[in-house]
Amino acid sequence: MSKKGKTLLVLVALLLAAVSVMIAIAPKNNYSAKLNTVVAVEGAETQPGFTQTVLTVKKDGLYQFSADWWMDEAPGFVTGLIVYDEAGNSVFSVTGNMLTADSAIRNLKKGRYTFRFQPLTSAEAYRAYVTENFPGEEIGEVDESVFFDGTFNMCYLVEIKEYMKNAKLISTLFGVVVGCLLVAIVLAASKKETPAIGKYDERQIAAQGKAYKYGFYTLMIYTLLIVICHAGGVNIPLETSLQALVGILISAAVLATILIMKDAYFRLDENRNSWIVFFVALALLNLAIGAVNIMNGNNIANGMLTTMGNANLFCGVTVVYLLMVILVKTVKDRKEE
Amino acid sequence: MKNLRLKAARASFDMSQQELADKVGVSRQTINAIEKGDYNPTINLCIAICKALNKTLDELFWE
Repeated sequence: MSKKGKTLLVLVALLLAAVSVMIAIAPKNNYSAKLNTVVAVEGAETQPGFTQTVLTVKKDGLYQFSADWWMDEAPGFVTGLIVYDEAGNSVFSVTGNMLTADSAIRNLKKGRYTFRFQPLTSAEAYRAYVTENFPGEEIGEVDESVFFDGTFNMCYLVEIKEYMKNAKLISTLFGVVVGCLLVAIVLAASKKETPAIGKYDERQIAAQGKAYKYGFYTLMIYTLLIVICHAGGVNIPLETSLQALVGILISAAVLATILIMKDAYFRLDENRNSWIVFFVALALLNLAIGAVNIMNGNNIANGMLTTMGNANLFCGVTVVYLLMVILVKTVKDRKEE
Repeated sequence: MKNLRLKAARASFDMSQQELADKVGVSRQTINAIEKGDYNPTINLCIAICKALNKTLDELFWE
């Protein structure tokens, strides 16, 4: 087998191993249910009085409750959720108008858990509910305007998720490892068997120096702007890690634009078409994941764009931008020729 | 400043920019940039180009 074939084989084996490890360690015991219900409110009375569903945990372990309810507009009541175990003990409770909430980590026994959603149609009902179910919790000013009559289409999502320590860190690392392996596979596949003339010529290396310089300046300016915004109390509607990611993407885009326009991006012996195919696939994959996140409402939390919900979308947009720069450069080259 | 002497020498061999680039181990765009005067090559590349075109440094690069 040729050296190229062996390299490809090793890289594919590593990719498969990484995916297998992730599948093996990923939590498998997740239980979820979705409830669509119409709640009619008239004179502080609701029909139905409450809505409930049951999820059965099949294995003892550490779990996290997750609740999510949304609708096109805020309903005329506040929803209270209590999760009961088989003995009738409350194991998780939360109230809210429209929200996404996760419980603390709980050690759960296998068994049935009942999720009960209770519409609270007045400030008095809300106070009574909180006093009964959240002992010791201070009740602040209750906005009366949230309570009004009407018919509301409610959608409740509930989940019991098996807890995995450092799940976000592990999944991020997994994404980085898989991404690096995919790039390595494309690099190995596009390399010619014949000895290369050279990696980059001297003009390309000089152009790269300039490109790195401008990429660095861009990141400095962006970071400075973020620091000024934070110091001046300007609210940036992006999570902190997303702010960092945007900085990296903008400076990477500046770097890549200069490299492409100065013909210093691709090596002398490199197959550009395989890179373009890879970029198109990368853009489509990231945009698809981004679209799914938007459809699931994962991209915004507490009025801020989330990292997990937007990272793929932002990466996808950056790759589309790079493809457009490659297209412009190709057209320019053809005109020159 | 444009390097018309290089262009003329290349044309006399009926050689394209790509062919010269392949011969001296650089990209076509680098040869194009040298001919247009957008890039000043290193002495090593100058020598490689002179050898490829059977010319001296003075003939191609000295003004």
